[in-house]
Amino acid sequence: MRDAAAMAATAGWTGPVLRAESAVKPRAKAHRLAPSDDLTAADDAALVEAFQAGRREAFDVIVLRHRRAVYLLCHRFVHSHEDASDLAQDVFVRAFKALDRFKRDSSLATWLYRIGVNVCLNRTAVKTPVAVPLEAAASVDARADDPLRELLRTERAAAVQAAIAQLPPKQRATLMLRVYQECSHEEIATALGSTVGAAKANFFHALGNLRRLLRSS
Amino acid sequence: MKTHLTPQEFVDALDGRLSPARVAHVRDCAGCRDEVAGLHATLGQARQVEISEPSPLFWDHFSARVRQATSELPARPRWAFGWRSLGAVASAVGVLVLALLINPAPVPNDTSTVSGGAQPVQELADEDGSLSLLVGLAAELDWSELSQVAAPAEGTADAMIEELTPEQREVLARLLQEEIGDL
Repeated sequence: MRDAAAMAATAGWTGPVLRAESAVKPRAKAHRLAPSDDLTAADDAALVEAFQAGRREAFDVIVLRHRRAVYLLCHRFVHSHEDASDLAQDVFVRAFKALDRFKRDSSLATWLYRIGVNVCLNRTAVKTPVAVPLEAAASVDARADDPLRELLRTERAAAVQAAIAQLPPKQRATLMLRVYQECSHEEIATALGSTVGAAKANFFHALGNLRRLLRSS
Repeated sequence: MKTHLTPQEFVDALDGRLSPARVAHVRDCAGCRDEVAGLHATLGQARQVEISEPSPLFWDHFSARVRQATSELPARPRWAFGWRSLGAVASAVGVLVLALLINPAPVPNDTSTVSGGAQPVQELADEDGSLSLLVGLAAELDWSELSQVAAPAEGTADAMIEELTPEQREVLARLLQEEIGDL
């Protein structure tokens, strides 16, 4: 298979190329841990197995390892630190309740994203419209080299966030998982319970709609 | 190929994974080239949106919150697993009862070979209403239906026996003794 960047250059554009696909991780064979083994060094599959064997402390390590990604995903949906931390906590509580039944058909991260997307979409469906951040513009650093340029950048970012918030739920989730969580299309399909083709089509339509929304704004 | 790119192919183009033939099409087709460029620009705009990271102190606080919330949840309930085991045991007992009904063993003349105190299944069924109901239902099934409905998957029996309590194992052993001892 040819290098992605080379292919992109051949096609005539010079922008950044998204990272190459990584297939959805197959069901990982967990390295079996002894009860005295240090959990912090264990991989996700071993942590899941340890938890399912009754080692509750394995969940602390799972939280430690995935809390940032889950929090950032939630923040992308709700644009507020307080709401994002509440939702991220909810994601982990749900994961704790369901981890016993997790069959490791996908990676733990993908499974957590799936829970996260469901929690966030449920929340944003109930609590509409999504508040989009003027806080970003308010936090422009006046001491920056070029405050005006910085202001424009933050305004543009706020406009993009507002436009993303208007996308249909599945397109929004697809865009967020692809662009910000850097998930592969296979992982997105797993997280959203769709096919790879549908995940790609959603991503295409998300970008197309985002472009139209940004033009109209 | 003269057809324009499909949505999936546009995404492949963004990822730099388009086949050489389709790359050639993009090079020759102004419409597809503009669409790819537009999508690429939009993607670039989306990627520039950053969110501020919370304070490093937040993470420990967050972990503590999650630990607090999960510590209030009950530990993995053993009974939940036990119910599954109970179902499996019930299936196994049902299979044994059905086997007895379908192929009734001759009544032994000398009952001393059966462990002391063991009751025949029919007596158990007479004493236990739910078991007699099972026996009644089983009588209406033939073996082909039974094997489809009640036969446990391979390995289920081993796993099930490992999960039995000593008392349950004793009951199972007694039932098996009754069945095997008569063969």
